[in-house]
Amino acid sequence: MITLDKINVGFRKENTTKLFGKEKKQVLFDVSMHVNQGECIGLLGESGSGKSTLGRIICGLLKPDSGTINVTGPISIVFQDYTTSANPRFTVSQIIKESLSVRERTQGIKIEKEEEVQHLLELVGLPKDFVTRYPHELSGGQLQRVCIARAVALQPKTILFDEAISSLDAHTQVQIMDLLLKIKKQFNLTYVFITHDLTSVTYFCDRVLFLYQGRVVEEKKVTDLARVEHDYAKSLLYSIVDIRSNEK
Amino acid sequence: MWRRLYKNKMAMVMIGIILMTTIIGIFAPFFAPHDSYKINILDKYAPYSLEYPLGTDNLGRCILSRMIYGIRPTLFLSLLTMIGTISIGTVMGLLAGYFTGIIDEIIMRMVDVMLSFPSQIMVFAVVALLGVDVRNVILANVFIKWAWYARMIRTNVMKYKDTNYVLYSRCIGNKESFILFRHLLPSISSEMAVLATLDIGWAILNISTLSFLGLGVQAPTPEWGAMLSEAKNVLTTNPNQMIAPGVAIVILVAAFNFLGDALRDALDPKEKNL
Repeated sequence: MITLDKINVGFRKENTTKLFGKEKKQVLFDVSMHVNQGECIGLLGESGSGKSTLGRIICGLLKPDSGTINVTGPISIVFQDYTTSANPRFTVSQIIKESLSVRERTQGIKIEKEEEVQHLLELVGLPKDFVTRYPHELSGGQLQRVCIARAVALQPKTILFDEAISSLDAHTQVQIMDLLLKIKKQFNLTYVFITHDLTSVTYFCDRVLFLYQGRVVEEKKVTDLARVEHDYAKSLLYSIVDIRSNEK
Repeated sequence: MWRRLYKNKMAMVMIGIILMTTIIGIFAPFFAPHDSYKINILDKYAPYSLEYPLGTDNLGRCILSRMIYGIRPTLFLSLLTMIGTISIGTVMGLLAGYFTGIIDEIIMRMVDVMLSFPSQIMVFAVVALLGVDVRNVILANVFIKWAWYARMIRTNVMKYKDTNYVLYSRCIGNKESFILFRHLLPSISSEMAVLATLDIGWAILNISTLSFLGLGVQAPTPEWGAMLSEAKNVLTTNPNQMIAPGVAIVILVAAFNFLGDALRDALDPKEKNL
């Protein structure tokens, strides 16, 4: 489904020591991963570990310095910051129609857009009269649902979630995750879930990749999470366990 | 946005002045009391009177009529200049800002070269090369001004290029034209509207200046700068000749500048207390 092989990425340093120097700060080191059809994989890592960069590599916004990427089928993305992920000048219906028109073009078919928009809004659990609303007239959870509708409208094989639920409150997070699970089952989708939040991963994913300082340090099935070996993965796991035990 | 603008008294007054001027200019034959070209040498330098509300000039032509007919070249030539400038500047700025890399380098170095010339000298050079004609003046103005716009628009485009909605469009493989014209262009348009309004004042002044120097609109066509130029010849004997065109230019340019300021306030969503 998605195969990454020995991806290396670096960015030009702004504070080079030499005049016209081309030093690079390497962000990802030999990252390899494989995602199967219908799987949900979690990319877990702290800030600056390169997980968002990896996300951009997967959806083709960035080209790696070396290594190969192989993604089959269309891929769609849902961003963390819902406030900027929809054009503030578009209505909900225009936002979703953008994806629909791309699908029309790539699949060479004609879509009844109005009907399809209604259908998608129903799917993500929003009332139908939202079509004329603008992003600033929606709450965070509602707008994130619109973004999910937009991502699903493309009929992708894979959806990438870049911290897609981190900025929502706990209750909305659970609602959105349930919605995502429902959609996943309905369309047989593959999910790549980038996050720093271990709890949502355990709720949601089949397999977890721990990313630490640009390297994949650990790969585990969610059911095997207790048996992680790397220090970072352990500390992450224990920090949550600690909070839980404190509550008791 | 329109409601905020509507609430802004300054903006409404300025739009009123500009609209009124435009309407009078378009329907000049209805408003002008006399033929703007009709010479009546016996009545030259006539003072303000009921027959000639603003007096007559050195050839006995009605100044009010000439002022009214003069709106056409003054206002419409400057609008034409701005349309030309903005369209070239927008295309260049969008290309440079969105595609970056080699296209950006080529366009921006061109812009750098254009901006390093003193603008007024450039206009003179272009007019001197192509000949004294209004068309050449507009061409020269567009030629020196597009670079400035291209730079402004490039900066704005770069600001919006990395917003998530543009990234989403690129990720799902939407057309570049959709991203450029549906996402980026509307995002930068409000800032562009402010700039353009402020710069129309500049264009009016520039065309008037060139007409004043005898390089722009040629006699006997009525134009405010050219009228000012004719009036300066009799500055000591008939100083009141300068008042009408001078004041008119000041008012119109000021109206555009104030409107630009008001637009900036109205279009800035953070400014709540309007």
